[in-house]
Amino acid sequence: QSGQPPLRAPYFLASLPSSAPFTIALFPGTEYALPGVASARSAVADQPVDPGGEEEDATEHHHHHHGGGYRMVQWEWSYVQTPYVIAVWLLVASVAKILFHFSQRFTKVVPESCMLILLGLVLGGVVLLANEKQVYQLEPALFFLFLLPTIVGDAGYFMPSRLFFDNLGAIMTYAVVGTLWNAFCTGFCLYAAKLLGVIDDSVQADLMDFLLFGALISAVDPVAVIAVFEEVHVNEMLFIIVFGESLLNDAVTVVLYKVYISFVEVGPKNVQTADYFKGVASFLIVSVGGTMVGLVFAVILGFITRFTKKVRIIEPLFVFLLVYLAYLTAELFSLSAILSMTFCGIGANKYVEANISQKSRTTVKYTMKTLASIAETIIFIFLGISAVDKSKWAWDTGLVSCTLVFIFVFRAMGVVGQTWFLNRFRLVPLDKIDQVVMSYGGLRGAVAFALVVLLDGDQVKAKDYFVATTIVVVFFTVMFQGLTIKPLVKWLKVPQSTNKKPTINEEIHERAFDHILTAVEDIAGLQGYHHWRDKWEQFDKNYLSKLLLRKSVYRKSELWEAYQKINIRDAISVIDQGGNVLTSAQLSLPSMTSRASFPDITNYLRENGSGVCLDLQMIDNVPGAKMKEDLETHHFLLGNLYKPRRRYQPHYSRHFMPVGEQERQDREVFQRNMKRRMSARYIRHKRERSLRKHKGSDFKDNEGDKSRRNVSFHDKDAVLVSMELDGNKAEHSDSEKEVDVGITFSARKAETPKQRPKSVPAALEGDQSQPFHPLSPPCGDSHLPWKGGVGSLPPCISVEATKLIPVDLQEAWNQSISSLESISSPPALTEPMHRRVSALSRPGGSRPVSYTPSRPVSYTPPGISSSASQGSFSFPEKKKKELKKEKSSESQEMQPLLLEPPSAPPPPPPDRGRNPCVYLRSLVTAPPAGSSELSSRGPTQL
Amino acid sequence: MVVKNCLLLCPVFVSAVSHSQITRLYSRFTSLDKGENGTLSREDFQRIPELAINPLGDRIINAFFPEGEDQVNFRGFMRTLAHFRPIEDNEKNKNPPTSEPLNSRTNKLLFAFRLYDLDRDDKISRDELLQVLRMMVGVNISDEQLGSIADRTIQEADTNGDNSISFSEFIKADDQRHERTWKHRLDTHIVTYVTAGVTNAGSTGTR
Repeated sequence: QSGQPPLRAPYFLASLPSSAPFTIALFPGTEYALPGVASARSAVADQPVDPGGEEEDATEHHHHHHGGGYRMVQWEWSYVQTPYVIAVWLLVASVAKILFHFSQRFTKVVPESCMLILLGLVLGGVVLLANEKQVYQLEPALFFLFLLPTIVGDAGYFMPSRLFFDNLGAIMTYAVVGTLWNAFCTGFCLYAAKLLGVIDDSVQADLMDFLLFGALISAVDPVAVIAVFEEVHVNEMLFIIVFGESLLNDAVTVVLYKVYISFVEVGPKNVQTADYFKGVASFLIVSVGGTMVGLVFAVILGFITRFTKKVRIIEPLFVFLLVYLAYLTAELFSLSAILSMTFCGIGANKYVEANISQKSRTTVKYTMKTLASIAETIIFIFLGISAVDKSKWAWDTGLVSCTLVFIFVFRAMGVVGQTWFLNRFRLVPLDKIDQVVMSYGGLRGAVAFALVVLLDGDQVKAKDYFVATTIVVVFFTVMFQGLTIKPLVKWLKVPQSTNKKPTINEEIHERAFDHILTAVEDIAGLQGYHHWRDKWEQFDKNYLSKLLLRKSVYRKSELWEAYQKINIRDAISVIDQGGNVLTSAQLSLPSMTSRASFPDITNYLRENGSGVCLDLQMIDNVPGAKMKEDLETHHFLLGNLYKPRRRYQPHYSRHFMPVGEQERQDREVFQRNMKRRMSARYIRHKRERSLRKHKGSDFKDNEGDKSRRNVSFHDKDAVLVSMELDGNKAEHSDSEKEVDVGITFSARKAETPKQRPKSVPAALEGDQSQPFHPLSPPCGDSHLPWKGGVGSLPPCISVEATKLIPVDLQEAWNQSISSLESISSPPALTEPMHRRVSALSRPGGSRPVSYTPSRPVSYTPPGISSSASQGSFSFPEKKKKELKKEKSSESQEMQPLLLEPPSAPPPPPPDRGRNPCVYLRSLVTAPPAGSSELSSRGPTQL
Repeated sequence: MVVKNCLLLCPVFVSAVSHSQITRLYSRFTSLDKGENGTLSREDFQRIPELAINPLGDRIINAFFPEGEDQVNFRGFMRTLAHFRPIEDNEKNKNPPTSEPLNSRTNKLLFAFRLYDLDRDDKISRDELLQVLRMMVGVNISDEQLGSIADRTIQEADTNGDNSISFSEFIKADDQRHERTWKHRLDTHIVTYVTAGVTNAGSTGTR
């Protein structure tokens, strides 16, 4: 073929249009097997992008050495045809997408799927005009082997699996019962309509045909549903239900379809009763089998990605290949390929994401989305094109209108009925609006179309009528319902919102309460607590994760991995901007000091506040400006308050994958919470350490003197569990103790063995770490407080949690420390350290007189203030401490009681206090003797 | 067995919370209780992944622990959760119980109030408010901005001029607009979310 000459052959044009559809040409195998087929006319001819190609590119047939002689430039059309056509096709679709999204306003009103269909219609019209006969149409093979898998694979892999399984009951009900209901009712009613003469006699179909048609027309299409729903922004749960339903019901539809097809082939008269049971059985086998195949491939995929460490570059490939193989394999055994792929995606996601590198993850994500987006675009365009070709269908008004009415009515009836039933069991019932949206959102799409095109015209006489009806149904549901569903949702939801502006108080408290409720739900497990899920997670942890996750991944919980990263980043960023923050701290400091003397905050701020405050307050003076200010504050709050989870948008989006607000928020909050917890933990350990040093001498005193009222808040914040662990473990054995030590910071690990005098038995050592226990009153009354606390509790506290901590924690610490070492600037570090010291030195007990309620600011409990108002600042100090500990541990820890005073930071100059209240507190509490050791011992002594 | 003990211990629940609800919450309790020692520690709570991304998560965890304690047993657990039990219609009609039920609106509000009021002086000081605000807004907000918001909030609610919000002010702050106070919505929220959960315990479909 190399010497193929260029063809200037307009006369070939005539022979071309009759060739097989372009889509077949998309399969290389097919193409070469059927040379005639390969002669499909190129798509390029119809594209504006290739203006000159019309005449010239009709060079399909392989004419060897037509012109003769040597040519400098050769026309190799047939050689590149297939990929070329595909590429240009995609280009057109993508450019079309860009164009759609040019107009923001337009895309808001018109769903993308509608526009794609319109584009398809236009393209189809052009092609038809040019050729008088349609050459491109959606081929079932193309659809089922390439387009559908990309969409389903994307959906399955990125399915919010938790949400999916939470609603699995509802999804299954809607998918199976709902689809069967729709299929049978539509089929029977159409048959009835036929008998009644509503449908024209020319439609030659009997009951079986109508049932078949009912089956294929009843499936809600995932493509259409995703396209429309994600633009409507329905709530998460509704989305997952309808979307999940549309995924699963395809399986039902396809199975029904195949059963009917075989019935039709056999002929209705020959169908025996046993065959019906076989149909049912085949339904079960097909769906369960498909699911199994998917799960098997999920396991394989997880297992393979476990070993890709050295070949990161092909990690994404494994994902695509295996997911696709899951689809093909299921198809091979004529099981439900959609189910197979979906479950492969859902099942493997967790392990794959954990195994592969971050970059591979991104690659997989983008590639999947891109492919799915392409496939979706192509499908809708094909739909449009196919509709133009009149030769493929025949119109019957009766059939079309009956079908439209029936599918809508039965969809609505089915939804209402099933919802009524499901709501009796659901925690969160689906309300009326949800039901309306579900009924109205029953869009039919490409699956139905592909199935109807697949019909054998010889056996199903009315095929052409069915095709026409299907096209109309698809168009109607996607175009009309798709267009109107958004306004409908809006309109329905109007009564819920009012235009009254809440006050600032309402705004804040309301949001706070939202958070509270969310948290309570989480605690009570209302987000979907299942016995079975617990079991599953147990199983997963014990077996699956071990099998499918990398060792490194498995050992590290994801949480701690994330925490470690955050930790390091924070340490660095704090150091980086340390100077700036301090400066602003200086600014705000005077305002706070003097505020103590000016009871009227606003007055004060008006005079001395920073620029921002000043402006706002100035406006306040102007009559009427208050409204404006309120408005500003309102907007400000609205924009910046964290949103409770349930206000999130659905996770799944085909077209957009922003690191959304939600993710950012989650990260921030997570980061803060972890810091807070860590600082609480740190306080505990620090105290523990100091206690340990003073072991035996004063922990009993702590007991007696401990006054509940005086427990400052950080006491409550402190996490005491691993303390108990120390005690418990120590009682068991020395070796366990060693393990346990790992929980605490590395410094302690180093110190423990040394610190313990050889004569002191391990058990005693354990006890020594117990004095913390006294914090809980019940223990305080027992004879041996630390024993009492332990004794009352069954001995084992989750070891697993503590096991996870040490390794990562230490890494995190170490890395932070090293990063700090490299960048640290002493002033930034010493100040917070001082703050912490002062915080610790201000135990509840000896509350200085100057702490009066009239100055609530100074009351800030240390634990909270550190996390809430300046979380980032609690860090460097810890690190520094830690650092110091590391350094000093070898030498100083040898002497158990030791004064660490030399290492205690000097009280910082007052103006360095970043947070005024901290500064205040430091002044008030005046760290005695400048000994951090002493002061940190304070709380426990009291 | 423990459940039954609990029923005896918590008269509040005997009246209104069905056995199945308690059973369900108890199984939740035990599943949270990784140490299997009959009490929950802070770490048990902190292990709930969702709480790690809840801005107020740790405050709420603290609300479960009576002052000075670091363990909470099932009874304490239920007591705190009981705040969020919905007010049922039939309860409203009944003659008012001697003591105010935990789930009364006042108590719900008190619960929220306590989350702000760290030092338990029954006042939300500017600083306490500021802390909560800091927790609830993004990191990109400057302290000045927050400070001014806190000031405005207090100004708005403060009636006796002590620059802090007392509980009565806290309640009143929103009463100014009767038609749509957040408390109404609060009740709605509770009815929708929590109730549904507590009432239809152990069902198939959950959020």
